[in-house]
Amino acid sequence: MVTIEHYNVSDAQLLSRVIGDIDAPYQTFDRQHGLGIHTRSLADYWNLSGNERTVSIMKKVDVIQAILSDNNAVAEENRKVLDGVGVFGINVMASPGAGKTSMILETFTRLPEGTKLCVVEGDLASSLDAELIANKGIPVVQINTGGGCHLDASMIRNALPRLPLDEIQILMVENVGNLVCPANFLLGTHLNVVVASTPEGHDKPFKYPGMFNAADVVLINKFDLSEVFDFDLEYFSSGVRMLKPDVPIIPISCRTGAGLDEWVEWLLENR
Amino acid sequence: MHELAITESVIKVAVGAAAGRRIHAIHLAIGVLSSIVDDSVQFYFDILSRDSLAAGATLHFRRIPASAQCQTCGHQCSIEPPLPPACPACASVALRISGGMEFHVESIDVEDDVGS
Repeated sequence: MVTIEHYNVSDAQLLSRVIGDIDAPYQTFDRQHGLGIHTRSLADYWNLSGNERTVSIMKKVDVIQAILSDNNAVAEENRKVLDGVGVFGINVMASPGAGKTSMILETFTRLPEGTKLCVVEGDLASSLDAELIANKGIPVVQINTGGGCHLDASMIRNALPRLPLDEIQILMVENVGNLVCPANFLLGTHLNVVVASTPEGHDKPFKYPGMFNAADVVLINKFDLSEVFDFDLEYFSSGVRMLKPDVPIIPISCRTGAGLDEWVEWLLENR
Repeated sequence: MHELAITESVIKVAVGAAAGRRIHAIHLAIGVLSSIVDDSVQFYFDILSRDSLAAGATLHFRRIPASAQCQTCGHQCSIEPPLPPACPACASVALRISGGMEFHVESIDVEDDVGS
């Protein structure tokens, strides 16, 4: 007797497992139809020739593996490299134009003596931001993704040997300007900073929950213009807190300098 | 367009788990707050899976809802983006969202050779 277990019947697939001799009459069982006794043998049913004894049957294989497990593994390697030299890595994510580069430059000027910074710049194209940063005497590596919408862990792995990690304490990775894709890709950094800005509007946490869910700290840049753009801080904050109740939200202005001391103080305490 | 990188990873994970067997279907579990466009993944998949064990396989997306709980009135509901501005029952903004960020390959259906 052969038993075929149909243990998952979907519209597209019948998953079966055959137990026993395929030359004997067989029975089937599934949730929809219950037990079925068949008088023919399975070999007969599949129209197998006398010498053919192997048939293809669908089998379900449990995987349960993170889709980006390869990237996550490289991110872990990066983390070990950074931990090995005592460097605190920060992944800076934001929309284009929110003020990531300005925030990095303003952070740099506020770091205490002996705390040094270097930067990985991610952009689709150009080295404009890297030049701005290099002009301040900050070590920087530019990554051009050539149209790619996010940085991934292997890009960071390639950039790390080109940075003076022995001489610095903080690595700022400026991700590609984008509130969607970068949130999915771990880099191996220790902290995710999301830089929002008042011209983008106060509804961004509601519309891009994936990004704000990934945030360890949220900065709201251009806060000196909040009245001009009718930016409702409470509404914005309620959206962030739905996802991450304890995430600090720090309004800043890279133009006036407001809030930046508070941010740098928070960073130095929490690194 | 991060779906390109995601689709490459889906194929890699599935082919790895298939251990040389032909893949007929890939079952993905995707939280509603993970930003993935199903059609886009399917589009890349059809191109990228050519000449692989996953060629012609069907992609199944199981969308996992996020749930919201109101800290004020205790109301619970499942949600999809965009997030609700306030609790639908009592209008409090003290909502807490959990789940919906799932992002993995759950299982694959492979051809399994069965001898007599």
